[in-house]
Amino acid sequence: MSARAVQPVQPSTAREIEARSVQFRRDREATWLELEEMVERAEKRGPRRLSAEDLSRLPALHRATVSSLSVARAITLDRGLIAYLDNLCVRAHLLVYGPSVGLIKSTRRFMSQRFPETVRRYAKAVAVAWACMIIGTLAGLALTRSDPEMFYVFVGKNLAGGRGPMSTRDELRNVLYGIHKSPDALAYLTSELFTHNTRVGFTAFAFGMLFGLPVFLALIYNGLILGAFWAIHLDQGLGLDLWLWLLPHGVTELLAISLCGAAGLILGHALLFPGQRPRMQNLGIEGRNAAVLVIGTIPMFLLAGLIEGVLRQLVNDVAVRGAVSLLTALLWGWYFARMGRETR
Amino acid sequence: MRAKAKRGKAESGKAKSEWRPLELETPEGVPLHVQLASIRQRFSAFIVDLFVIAMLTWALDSLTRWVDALSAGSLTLWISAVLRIAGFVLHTLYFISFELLWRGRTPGKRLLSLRVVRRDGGPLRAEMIFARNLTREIELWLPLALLIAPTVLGGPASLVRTIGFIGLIVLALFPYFNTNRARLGDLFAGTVVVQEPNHRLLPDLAALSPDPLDSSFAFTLDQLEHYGIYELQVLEGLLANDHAPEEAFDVVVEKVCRKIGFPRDAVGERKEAFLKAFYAAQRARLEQKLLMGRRQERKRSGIFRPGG
Repeated sequence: MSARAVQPVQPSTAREIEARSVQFRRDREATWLELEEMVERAEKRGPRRLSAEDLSRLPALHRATVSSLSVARAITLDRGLIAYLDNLCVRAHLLVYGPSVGLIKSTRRFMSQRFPETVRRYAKAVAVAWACMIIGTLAGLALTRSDPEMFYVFVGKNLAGGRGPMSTRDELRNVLYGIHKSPDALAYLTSELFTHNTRVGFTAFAFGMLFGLPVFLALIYNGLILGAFWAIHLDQGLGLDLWLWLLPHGVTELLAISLCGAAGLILGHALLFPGQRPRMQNLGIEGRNAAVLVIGTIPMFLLAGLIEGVLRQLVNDVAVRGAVSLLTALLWGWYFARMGRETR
Repeated sequence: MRAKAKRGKAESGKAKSEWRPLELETPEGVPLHVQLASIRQRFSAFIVDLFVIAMLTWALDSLTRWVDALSAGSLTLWISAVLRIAGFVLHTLYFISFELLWRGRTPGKRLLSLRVVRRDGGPLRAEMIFARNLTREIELWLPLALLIAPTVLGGPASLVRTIGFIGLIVLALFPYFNTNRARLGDLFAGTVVVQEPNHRLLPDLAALSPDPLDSSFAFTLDQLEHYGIYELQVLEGLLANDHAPEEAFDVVVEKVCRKIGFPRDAVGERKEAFLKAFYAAQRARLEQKLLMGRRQERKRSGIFRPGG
């Protein structure tokens, strides 16, 4: 017979054997409810509305509740209680470990450290993106010079803006050195350029999802267009003038495009070659870092849009155009090489 | 720091696909559980967001048209520049800005009590929000564009349409084929969408009621040997359910009395009080055993026979 049968049968009332977990809950309930009230307030009106006193109590309450949860899992069979505590801990967790720094501070930290650091870390991908663009440009140049009709293969009608292999030198010159817009229209032009280019950059990143292949194509194609334009200007002896027209904003814009392209390549690479980590985890980490590159290009596109929309329309002086190109090149060179490096 | 989604148990009463908790590791070392959002919920939230975008676009469009109708002074050009940026923010940055501002929630997600969290439980950062939303460009807008305007890219329209359609279907069904119900963008960001936790603390069923009559139900240790943890928690579910039908109590009281050998007549009409008292006593007994290291999961077979 089992041991139980040997025991004398003791009549025992419910009052005598009240569950220990009942006492456990009674002792700690106040803490949980206080935390719950605080979390609810933060969820409804934002964490910034908690008072200093609340904030100083929050970590202690959170820790106490988490420890209650782990004790409760061991000693109580009350499923409702465990579910409640589990839930409350998640809510508190999201509050306590949520992003805590303000927008300005996090923007500053991002621009002064995270962004340039990430660019340096993925210098190889950026170099590959540049290589694609340069190869595309040279190919476009060579192909269009050998057969001017190729220009129309690479450049769409609206992008050409009436320019082509048949254009005369004066026609080309007028585009490079004419003032086309009244100064008031510049703000609109700037906003249009900025939004269009940023969208293109974002799409380049998203293309990375298709194993990176479209990114290569897009970068090379971008280069082909550039090369085709270069070819028709070179034929008329305007090669340098073209670059001085392009580069003041082009330095920033091409750099930003190459970063978006690099981000797309990083995604494609992460999909194909997970490396040491499990694939899903690797995708998460690489995807985030690639997104850092894309976020960083937003202010770059804005700057490029400003230069293109305002400066290029107002300034025809070759020296100024050259100086701006050089200045932006130096600025970005310094920024990506030195910014956020630890000084030792 | 890896999260695993466990397949739920049928006993939860919900359909298998609906119930799927996700385990979050925390710095405290205590795993927490959140409920993954169902695909239906996410889709509804998305539709709500699309509706909001459509409404805002319409408002912005009419505003732009109104500004355009004014004489083209320098001010109107500035205003249209601002509207242009606003349109960009609306189309490209709608999800991103809301998820940044509201910590992983958009109007649609808020309405359906959903929220984006990091798969490994850490803080949600801006780059994750960007990563999971920039991919929409390919996941949604590109296949849609191929479907609606197949001539843009050139090539035969029917072929392009087919490609767009297949792309849309494959990407839309993607969440069905992984444990975290992740969209492609979620994979790249390392995020998941969960239901907002909002459990209430119910009164403790095992706490003694102040009514002295209720303590008239006394159980012997022998009577508390029959049931296990599973039955206890089923009983908890019944007692916690405010809408439980009267007949359910009848059936359960009948069964319990027969199983533990408690005189049915002593219960009378106070069925709920009896079940509560039994629940309290049974839980105390099982928890006591738990402390001693004996975890009794299930009931014992057989029916109590007095003196047997």
